[in-house]
Amino acid sequence: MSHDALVFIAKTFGLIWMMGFFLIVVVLAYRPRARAAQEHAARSILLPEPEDRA
Amino acid sequence: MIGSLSISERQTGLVLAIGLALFGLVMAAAAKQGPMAVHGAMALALGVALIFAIGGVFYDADAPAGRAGRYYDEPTRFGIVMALTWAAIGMGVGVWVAALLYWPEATPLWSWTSFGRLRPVHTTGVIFGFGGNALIATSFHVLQRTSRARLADAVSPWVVLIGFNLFCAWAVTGYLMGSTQSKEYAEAEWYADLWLVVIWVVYFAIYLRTLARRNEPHIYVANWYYLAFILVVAMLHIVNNLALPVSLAGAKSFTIWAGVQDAMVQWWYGHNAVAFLMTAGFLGMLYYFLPVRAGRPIWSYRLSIVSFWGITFFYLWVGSHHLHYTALPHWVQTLGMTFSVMLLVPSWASAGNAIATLNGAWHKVRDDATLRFMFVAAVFYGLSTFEGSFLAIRPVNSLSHYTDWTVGHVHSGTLGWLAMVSFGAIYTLVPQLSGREAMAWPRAVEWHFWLAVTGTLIYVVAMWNAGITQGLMWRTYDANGALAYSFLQSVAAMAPYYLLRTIGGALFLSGAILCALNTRATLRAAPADAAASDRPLQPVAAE
Repeated sequence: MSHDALVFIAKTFGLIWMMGFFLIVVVLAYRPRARAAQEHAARSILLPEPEDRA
Repeated sequence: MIGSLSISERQTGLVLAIGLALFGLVMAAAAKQGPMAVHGAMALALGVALIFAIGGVFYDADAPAGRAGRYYDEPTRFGIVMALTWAAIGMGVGVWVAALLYWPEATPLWSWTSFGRLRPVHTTGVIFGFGGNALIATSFHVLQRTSRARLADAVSPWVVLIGFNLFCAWAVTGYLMGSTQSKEYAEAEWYADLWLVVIWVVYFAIYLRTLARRNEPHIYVANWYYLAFILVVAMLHIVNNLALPVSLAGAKSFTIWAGVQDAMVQWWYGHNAVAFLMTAGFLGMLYYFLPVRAGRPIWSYRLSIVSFWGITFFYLWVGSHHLHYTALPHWVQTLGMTFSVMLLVPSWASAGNAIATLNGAWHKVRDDATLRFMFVAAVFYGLSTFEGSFLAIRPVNSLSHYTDWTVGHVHSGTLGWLAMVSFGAIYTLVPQLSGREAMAWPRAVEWHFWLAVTGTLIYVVAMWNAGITQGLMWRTYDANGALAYSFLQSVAAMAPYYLLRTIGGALFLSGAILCALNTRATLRAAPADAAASDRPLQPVAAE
């Protein structure tokens, strides 16, 4: 592969790959439907407050 | 610890121990002499010791009936003890070689005490011995708690821990005997590398098998980081260590990579060892132990997901910034530099997320030295990732490269961030595993904190000064266009900084030894049946 071909791939596919990847991650992380599950996950590692314990 | 194994697990353990002893015997017999024979003898001795240990309890009563309803914490406890043992060895050797740089005439006459052999004992001792054991130990804990499930089986955690520590012992004793692949952070020879691959596959398998049994629907983000650590370290380790041994009965091997490709593969490995062994796994620790200790959920769970993918995506490209101004093509250097600068975004997102989690809990940070360890770790993580991105910029690197600034940068990351978060995790875990509220000597935790912070600051500031002084002395020209300083003058100018570095390192080491003694006292004070009070969820079939 020539240097020019590599630069061309990096500036086209490489850029789209990186930004596309970024967009997919942001959409997956910030989609409103995941909020409840994420909130639950974030709190799942904490011990319940003493008054909440059975 | 072996007593809690079931009879069939003891049988498996005994078979594995006999296998290890035979393997060691064959290795020692085939090699006849040199490092490989010594390492075979070490494996034989370990195998025999394990045979006796398992044999001693072989006919005891079967495992207690309620075992499945508890977390399996013995491997975590063993891993913490090994981590602290390696911390004392690795940091002790580090202080010793730091002192040798100030008093080089103190080098003893035996070849195994030379600086070149001891220096990788320090790096392997702290990175793999201390860091690796701390990661494995905490990963077993975090994995079980976040999955609310017991480890999938009771034998493979021991295979991982004992096998990994045998690898570390092979590596450091090999260096002392002069056996090395001459690849930074990958000095261990081919048979040790193959051994580590086997151990790592077992580690990956037990992690996935336990996750598959989880009773929580969502896989908590700390597990993603631990998994990235396990998976990518395997990938890096295999590719960088591809080598042809001179003979199957000897330690020496030659890498299959040649010339600048070898350099590129080595620094792809080297920087990703920093990324995935020394960042991803410890971020897993931070994302679990910091919220738990602060009693608050992570500030933004979503941000932690975005920064996870940012870190895993960007880090894999940055290795070439170690090879600025070398025979490596210029564009590859630029690629590494660009990705290093972009890496600042997810790194600061993680550091900021951790610090923002403490907002509203500052009184706890003030009062609780354990939480303060983790707060300082997050601050140093932010500082050292900023510094790393900055040093990767080519013109900055022209001043900093080959100087002690790099050493200062590495230690602001390892002492200030990695060791601090590990100590925070250890001080959270050890009382819990001993069935207590606090460590046996609570005031020693406070002492440790201040020794660690003072030691780190002295070390890092001394190395910044040393590095910038070196860099400037090497590029100062006189009126005739000749270099103003000889190289020896730049070496002589380092003396005060090297003395300060030794003092800073010694303070940090004393804190770590205090932690080891405190942990020993806490574990010993625990009653014989002490165990963590939390329990895995027991799924019950619906009526």
